[in-house]
Amino acid sequence: MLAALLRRFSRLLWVLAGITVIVFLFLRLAPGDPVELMLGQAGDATEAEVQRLRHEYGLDRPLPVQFLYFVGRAVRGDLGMSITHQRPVSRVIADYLPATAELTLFSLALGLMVALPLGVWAAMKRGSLWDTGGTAVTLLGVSLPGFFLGILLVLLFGMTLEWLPVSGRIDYGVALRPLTGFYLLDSLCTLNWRAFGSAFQHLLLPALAMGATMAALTMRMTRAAMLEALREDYIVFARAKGLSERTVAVRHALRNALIPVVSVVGLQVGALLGGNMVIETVFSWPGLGRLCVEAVHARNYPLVQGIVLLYAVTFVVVNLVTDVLYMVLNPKVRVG
Amino acid sequence: MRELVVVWGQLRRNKAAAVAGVALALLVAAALAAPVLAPHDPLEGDLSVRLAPPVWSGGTWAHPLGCDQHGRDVLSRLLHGARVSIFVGLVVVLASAALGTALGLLAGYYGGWCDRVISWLVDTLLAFPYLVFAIGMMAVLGAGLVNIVATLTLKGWVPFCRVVRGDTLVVRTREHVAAAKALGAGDGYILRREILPSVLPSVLVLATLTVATVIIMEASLSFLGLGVQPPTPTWGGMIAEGRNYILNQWWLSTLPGVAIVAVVMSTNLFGEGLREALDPRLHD
Amino acid sequence: MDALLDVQGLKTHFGSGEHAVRAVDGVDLAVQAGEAMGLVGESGCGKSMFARSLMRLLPPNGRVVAGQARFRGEDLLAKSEAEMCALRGSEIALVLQNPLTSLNPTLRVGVQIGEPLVAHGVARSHRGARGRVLELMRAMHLPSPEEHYRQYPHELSGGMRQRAVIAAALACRPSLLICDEPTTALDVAVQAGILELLREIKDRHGAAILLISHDVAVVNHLCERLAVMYAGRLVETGPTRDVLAAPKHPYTQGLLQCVPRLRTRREMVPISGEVPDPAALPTGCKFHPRCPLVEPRCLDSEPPLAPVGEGRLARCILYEQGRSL
Repeated sequence: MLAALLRRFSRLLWVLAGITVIVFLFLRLAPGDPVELMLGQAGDATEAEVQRLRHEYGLDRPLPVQFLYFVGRAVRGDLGMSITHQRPVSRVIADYLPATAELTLFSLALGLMVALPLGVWAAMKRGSLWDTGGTAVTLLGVSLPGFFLGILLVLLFGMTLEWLPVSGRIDYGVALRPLTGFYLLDSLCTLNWRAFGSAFQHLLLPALAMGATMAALTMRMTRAAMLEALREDYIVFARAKGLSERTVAVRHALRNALIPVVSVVGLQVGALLGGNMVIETVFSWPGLGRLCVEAVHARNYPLVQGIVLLYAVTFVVVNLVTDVLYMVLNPKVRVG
Repeated sequence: MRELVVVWGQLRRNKAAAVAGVALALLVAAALAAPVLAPHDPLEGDLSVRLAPPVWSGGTWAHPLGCDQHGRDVLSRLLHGARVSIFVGLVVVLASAALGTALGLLAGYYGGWCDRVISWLVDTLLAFPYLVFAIGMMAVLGAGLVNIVATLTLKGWVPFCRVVRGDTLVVRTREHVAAAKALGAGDGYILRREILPSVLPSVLVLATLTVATVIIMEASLSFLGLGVQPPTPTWGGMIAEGRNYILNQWWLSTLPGVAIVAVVMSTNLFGEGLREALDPRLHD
Repeated sequence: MDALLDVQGLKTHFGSGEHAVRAVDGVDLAVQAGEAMGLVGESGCGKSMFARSLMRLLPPNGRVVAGQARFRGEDLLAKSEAEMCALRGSEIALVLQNPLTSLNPTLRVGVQIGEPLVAHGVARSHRGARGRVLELMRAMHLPSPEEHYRQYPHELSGGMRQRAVIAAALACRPSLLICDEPTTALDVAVQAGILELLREIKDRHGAAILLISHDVAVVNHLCERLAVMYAGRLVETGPTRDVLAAPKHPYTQGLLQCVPRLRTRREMVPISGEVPDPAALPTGCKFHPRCPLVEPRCLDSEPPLAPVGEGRLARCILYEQGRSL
């Protein structure tokens, strides 16, 4: 297994390199001179200052050298200056990161909690009306764009029924001591139940909208994997030993079905991250996604690409984690 | 040709896919005929019928689906918006399929450095979630139809490449390929006549399903204001514009969304039906 | 003395209507307590489906459409699923052909052997069952049981895996053990060991064994009686020694002529033709297209099983009128 892990790591490094190249190219493709853009907001600058900054950022050097400068700075956490905030991009990202992280994790958890049991259940009830209904729901889940589902949820639960809030992370006026930036955690740690409830309510609709497609695909995959597992000989033997249907399904079939599902979920996180930007816009969620969209409109290229880079790196790391998890769960790879 | 007949028969039997296929054909026809079909000019507004409700909510048949805040007929805008969505969907998928298939064939057939470079490119592009990549590129290129098509194609070719590469690796070890080589066939001939036909079914299925993905991408980008710019009507753009009026004039945002869902669902159903029809039959 | 297992007229079909596949087409079979009965036939004759029908573990589109299977007097085919669950693994056990695919690759061997003990309440938990599982593994002559207990199926050799499977089957001391081609997937050298093990189980634990195999030699090694199956029906039954010494049915004769024998230099004569497609069975006697002794009457009707000697039956027109060969 060690050999497989090392190979996986080396692939990771190459991909990280590739991501950095692409983001770098994005930045260079941006119209306008980067330095002038940076200084533009700060008022007039002398020609000497412009030249100095150009030299500092290595803009007077050939492209490959510029790339190396870029990598060197990125590795140290320097992603340039956010034009509209006049602060380092990394700082701005750090400020808005917890909001997006919390929403994404909550969305993932919610999606899995719904998709996995439903997928198993659909496989057990194969061919029944419930299964057909499940397939229809899955189709709908895959065909609904996240932002449209978000708007429908806003319309239904926010405005018509007025059950849930539709913007922001927490009710105006609820005080919460920020420890980690994760409101659910912070409120739990300080035993602030009002804040917990408020934060939870604010998370529900955006997480639902964000996770729906992912949940639909995961449910479909789980069902397929379960059906595949249930066809295996060891299921016949397990039943021949007199094990109950439930034991057969959970202990035998599900364990094997989860292995391919783990890989799929890793890929689904990519879909989650993609949908994140539109969902945050729909729900006015103060996170990186909405920030990125605003930055695009404001032509704040360094911030846009800093966020794009972060999302890509996150996705790559998540896939690495799921690949390792796959290796660990699959005994044939682990020991063999 | 024989195979086409078998597939067609298979498809006809799958009712859901058949219905979906018909629905799609109608939608495409409607979109193409939009300039003729649409009752009003999608760009010209009549402020006297501003925010008129649809026909089931108290409106008139002159504007069956109501009007937006500028007095523009929603039905006409929906039809014209369909043109954008379907155009982008088809062009991006065709270009992606062509590019991806070509690169996949090369990578799978020649292996070695060619494969390593292409695979690296594939892995790298896959690291970006589709919409994130699109937003990043559109930020840099600027909005517009050509830019959207280019951006979506730039990442859209990747799934095709992976599938074709995988299939090529399998097919190239088959007997008919070895036989052709033994007869002195050149690489180009083998790729075109021996490998490509075996690979096409997967490409076709993937293409159909990708149309759905691309339409959602285009709508998302338009929703964010990064797509084809107003005043050209786009479904995503209409949803965005209708948000301010969501409480009382909910149809402004909802109807374009329903249109998107209808097209995407039909495409998915048809694609799944196609996959079932093609799958075990042509792959041996 | 009532038979432990008494099957009458069992029919198992797949699908329905005209094109139904008649996998088992009317089988009568009796197994006495403590006896080893062999069921022989080529692949596709329906013997595996027969076994699965008894256990009520058929694939999704298969169903038993007729017949009875009395186990200790009670019809297995009439029992509820819950009642069958209680019987499976405790009174009646099934061993399948391929030990690698019989075991769940993600669970440890020891846990899988102990499952029947926990499921039927003999042990409270897997930890509690461990002692008995190790005992079983030793009884199956598995070397270093503690080590193998913790391992996963793919870490064991084919022979050891099959011993583990048999251990699991025997965990609750069933009175009937059904083995479906238990040695087919194993090397010849390992086969003998498994057969010895089965004999030991029969002699020492008094379990009745229904041994299903396409290999007559395997059946000969272990079983006192044997039944020959063809196209879903039995064509000959009787004491193993007698049947093999003087087979009465042309199919049995053909089978025995196909078997390579070391000591006698004899021509191997394969049976002409192929096993019929269960969805399109021949009319009349199912074997007539391949029978060297076929007569015109064989196409009309299928003869019943007729007595041909002490405790022997054969389904052939030659014996219908008391003629013998």
